[in-house]
Amino acid sequence: MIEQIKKAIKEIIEDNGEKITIEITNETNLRDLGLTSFDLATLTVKIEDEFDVDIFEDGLVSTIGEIIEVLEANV
Amino acid sequence: MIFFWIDSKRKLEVTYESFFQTIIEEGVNNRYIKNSNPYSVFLSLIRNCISGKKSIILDSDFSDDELLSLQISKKAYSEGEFTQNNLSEKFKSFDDILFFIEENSDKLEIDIYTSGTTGRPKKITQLFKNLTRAVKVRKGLDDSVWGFAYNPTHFAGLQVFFQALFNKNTLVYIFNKGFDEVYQDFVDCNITNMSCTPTFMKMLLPSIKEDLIGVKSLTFGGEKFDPKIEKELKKKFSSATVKNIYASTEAGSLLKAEGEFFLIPNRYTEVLKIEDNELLIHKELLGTSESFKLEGDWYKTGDIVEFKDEKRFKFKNRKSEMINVGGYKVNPSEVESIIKEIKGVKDVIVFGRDNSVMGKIVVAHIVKNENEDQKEVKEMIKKITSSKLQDYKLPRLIKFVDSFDLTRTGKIKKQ
Repeated sequence: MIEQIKKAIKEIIEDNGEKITIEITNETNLRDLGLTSFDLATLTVKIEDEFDVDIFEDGLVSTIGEIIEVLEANV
Repeated sequence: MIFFWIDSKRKLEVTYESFFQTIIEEGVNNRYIKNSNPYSVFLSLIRNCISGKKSIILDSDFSDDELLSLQISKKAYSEGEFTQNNLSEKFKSFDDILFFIEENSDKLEIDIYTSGTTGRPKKITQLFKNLTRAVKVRKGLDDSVWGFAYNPTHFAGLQVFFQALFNKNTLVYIFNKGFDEVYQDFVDCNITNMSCTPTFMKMLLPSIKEDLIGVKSLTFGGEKFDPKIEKELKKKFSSATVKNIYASTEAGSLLKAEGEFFLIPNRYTEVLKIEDNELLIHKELLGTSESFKLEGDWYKTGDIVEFKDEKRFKFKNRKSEMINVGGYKVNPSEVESIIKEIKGVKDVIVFGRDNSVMGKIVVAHIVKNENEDQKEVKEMIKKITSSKLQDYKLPRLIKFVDSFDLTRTGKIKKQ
């Protein structure tokens, strides 16, 4: 699951013409990746295409681990 | 000593006294205002104003193409147009300036641009009295400190600016910066009031480390309020009253509500009405624009409501195809017309896709010519759209398809 999330984040950051400079783990905060609100919205849609779950549906998610928790609870 | 403007990113701190001195200084002005520093935008606006000139406010990220489509040349906004002098006789203090604006609010005009329905930004001319209609001045508001969280060139931003100006409040610029820094501004500057889009708040909430008890008032506008953030709001802004406003670019802020349900206040019963569940605005409340199509004396907003009881209603959706991206309206046909011109693109459909972060994001589905390389076409689309369109209008997802099975509203097309 984390691999798919990593892939989606990598695509978004590369689409912005940038590169990921830190290693993504469960503890990584979405803010530390420099994601803007547009990027988070895009990430939500990409993950929804993959898992059919809207990760921000029930409020706020800050870390990769929290995304996985939401997905595991819903998939 | 009261500060007018604080912008920590640009290391700017301007008191009302020095703002006043800069306003009346001799110098060259231009009615066209295009500047990426919001302080400079407001300074030029007030300088034009006291010379009795109309201001034409352009988004700082308008591309040359967008300006060309509005028939505005680079020369128009980059060169001086008229000189102001001898104003220190007429204006002895900042209060004189406020008095002048108030006295002339039915004559002073401002042009702003908003996403048009015809594929290019449309110009709307507003009288100052429309911009300042919602401004409240009274004792008790004079020690407010505003977090300024809108684009300064848009209607909502101008309304916050005037609200603060007439009460001589401090404005702290918190737009377009990291949200951890925004939180720091709240703490450092003791911000008491903020008006923003629900999307802005959603992004800010995770950065707030402790309850900001100094905040007295929060106002949301630009898109539908998301009741899901209510709980988190109470925790992190425990002293704040929360209001939602309904505003339109055509008429500014019109309705206020504490939750998601609105009602038409008595003073507006003659100028606002609901017909076939659509909100209509009387022309008396509107600015002027060639793009307004009136039906009799009424302007159809395209905003559809749902009644809870006889009087109270909430906003449901928009009748038009405009995509509301976190409070900013994008016209899909404007984006489509640019992508269609790109080599290798056979056809394109642009629509909004629902998501809980920004309401909608802009998505483009592309049918490409058979022999073209998909990667190259995508690169070209990204390159050209970002050079021709403002950032919030750019498609965030570009998908190649064989044919379109979705309509612009994102629904499956009926065959």
